[in-house]
Amino acid sequence: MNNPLFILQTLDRHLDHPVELTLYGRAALALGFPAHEPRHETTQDVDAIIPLAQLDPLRADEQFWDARDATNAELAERGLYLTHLFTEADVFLLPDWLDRRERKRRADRMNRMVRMNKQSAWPQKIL
Amino acid sequence: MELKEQAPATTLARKLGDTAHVSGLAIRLARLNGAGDRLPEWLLKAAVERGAKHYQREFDPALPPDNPTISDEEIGVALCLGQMPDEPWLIRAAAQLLSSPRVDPQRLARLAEMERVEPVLLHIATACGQVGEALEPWATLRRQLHPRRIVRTDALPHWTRFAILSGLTRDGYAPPEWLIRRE
Repeated sequence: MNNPLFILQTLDRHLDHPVELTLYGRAALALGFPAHEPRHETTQDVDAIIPLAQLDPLRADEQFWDARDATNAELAERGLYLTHLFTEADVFLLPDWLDRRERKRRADRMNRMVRMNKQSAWPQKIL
Repeated sequence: MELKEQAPATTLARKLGDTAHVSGLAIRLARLNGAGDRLPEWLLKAAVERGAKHYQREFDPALPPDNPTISDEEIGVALCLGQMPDEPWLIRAAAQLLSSPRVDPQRLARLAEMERVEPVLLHIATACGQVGEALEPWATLRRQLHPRRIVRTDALPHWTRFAILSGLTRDGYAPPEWLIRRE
């Protein structure tokens, strides 16, 4: 079981609109880098960085927070969760980190990987 | 007269040398009870009304009323969030509120990890152990929570702040008494 993928698939199911999340830490390694180590898939949570420009819209996005709460409630028995969302001001980043994010290429690669592993699809509403 | 810019209020996370995450718990509680920016004050009032009576004080009557759909565990954890103001009585009120058999230790442990308050709750749990109490939920937290490195644990209230210290009485030396919640 790839825990980060399972967490994001659960969140994706509860979301009713697209949400942009920038993953980092072990979940990002497990999902964005096919050569990751097996232990990266066993992380209990998914960490994400919120650009300051997106902070207020995200705070006001009640459906996102409801979906997040529903996700955490659903994952409680497995001990998984998604709560560690940091603003860009609270983590060490390069000045041009926004431009250095991997998006489509990683997602495409991940889609190929999950198809190969016969797992369910990459979340569609999480950008 | 020279005007100086007022220093921003210090958060608990800043005092501890930690980072504060964007807490979905705080956002939901502020939304549910309508406290908005006054969430810390509302949380303290709710904790006092639920039994953290040692911290009784006059609260602004304009604050929204308590909301029974919010659990004790959520109130206690929210009082210890890194984004909260660096005000020791918030942590002390959380300690008394959570010192109750009505608190579910497992639920509290999970919420502590999710909301990144393990260092604060472990500090309280250790303090409780120092008083010689096998009280729950603290005994469970001491076993289950993993320590997370923070820079300044000395910024948290001293263990004596969570207890009543009567000291020497006519009957002899009275041991410290952990402040439990008044049900």
